[in-house]
Amino acid sequence: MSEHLEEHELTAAGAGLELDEAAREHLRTCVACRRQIGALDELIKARRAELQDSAPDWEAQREQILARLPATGHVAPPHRHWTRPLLAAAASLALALGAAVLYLEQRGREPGIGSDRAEEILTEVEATLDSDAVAGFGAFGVALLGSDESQTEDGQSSTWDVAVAVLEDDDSRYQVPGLEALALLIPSLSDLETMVTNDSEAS
Amino acid sequence: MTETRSDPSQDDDALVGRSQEGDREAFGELVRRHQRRVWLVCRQYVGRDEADAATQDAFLKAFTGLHSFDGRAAFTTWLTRIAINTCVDHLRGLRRQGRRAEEPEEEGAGVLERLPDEQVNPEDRARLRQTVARLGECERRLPERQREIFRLRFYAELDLEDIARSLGVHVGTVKTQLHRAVHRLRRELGEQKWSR
Repeated sequence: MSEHLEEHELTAAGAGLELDEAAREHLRTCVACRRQIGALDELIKARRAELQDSAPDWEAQREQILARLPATGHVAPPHRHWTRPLLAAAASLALALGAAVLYLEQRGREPGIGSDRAEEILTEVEATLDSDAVAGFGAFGVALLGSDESQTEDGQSSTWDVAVAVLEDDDSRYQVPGLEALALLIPSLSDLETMVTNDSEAS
Repeated sequence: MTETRSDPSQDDDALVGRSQEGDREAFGELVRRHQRRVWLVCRQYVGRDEADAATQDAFLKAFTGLHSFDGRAAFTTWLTRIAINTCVDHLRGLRRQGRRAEEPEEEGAGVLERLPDEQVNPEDRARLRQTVARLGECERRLPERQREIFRLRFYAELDLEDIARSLGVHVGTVKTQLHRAVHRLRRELGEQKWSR
């Protein structure tokens, strides 16, 4: 090693970064190098002290913060975190069912899943919601998008319901997987809303 | 309340857990422990005049978002991230109003003026004051990322890992940027010989 630390080593030491053993050993015994590093350190400390000189009254600030905290329950317990993916999965299932039913209906074929199964899924979703609210979401809608009737290939009439689950908060609609599939059949979200509204009014 | 205040065995995780259950006193203790650091973070982003408001907003956001804290990162890191985001929002708000934040460093050398004479003689005091002012100027000329990391490290006193997590970058990036920042400051300031 040279007589003193290299510039990059002085910089690393000044930045509080790691030095190799040889550099550390040199620093332990070299007053000149320590002084260079110490000068920057002192300067930074002086500047930090100056910045803190304009600090507010900490206790007053703390009291102001506490006074501004929401008065009522604000925090959802962490154990509820699992509900969101569960609901997303349930909603996706309902969406997939709806999409499949619509698709099969267009093909004029027996969908294989009738209204009983749709009702069953919806019941499960609603039961989940009843048992544990979804944190951050102010509204939840489970809609039956009307009843459809069509002729199957063997000429018999078949009726089923189309199930859709919609999660909303103040700002946006919850984008559950499977929405894209449904969007192929429903032109826009506003149409979806109309359908939900119409269905609600009808019922 | 006294129990919370005087109980150092209560670590942040325990206080967070109690706060998540709605214990406002526990949250008050978290405020007490972290407000200085949060204020220093806010100060570097929004300046002295806005730092107090930004600090309060950051703690309110932390309180209302506490349910999303899952303990994977340290509470300090999570809170620092909130503080930085709050400041960014704050600056956006000021911009929308056609205002801009003050330069955080534009102020007198108050603390230096009040150092007792036996600690610093007038000549050294004047030199220190000048050098501190030069440090502020040199800092402002640093590239934004270097300046941000330098200030988080030395003024907010965050460790390297916390800085990396707070900024969402690799710790190696923090080390590199910090090294460059200090190198540049050392070069621009030259050897400081104001020590007593």
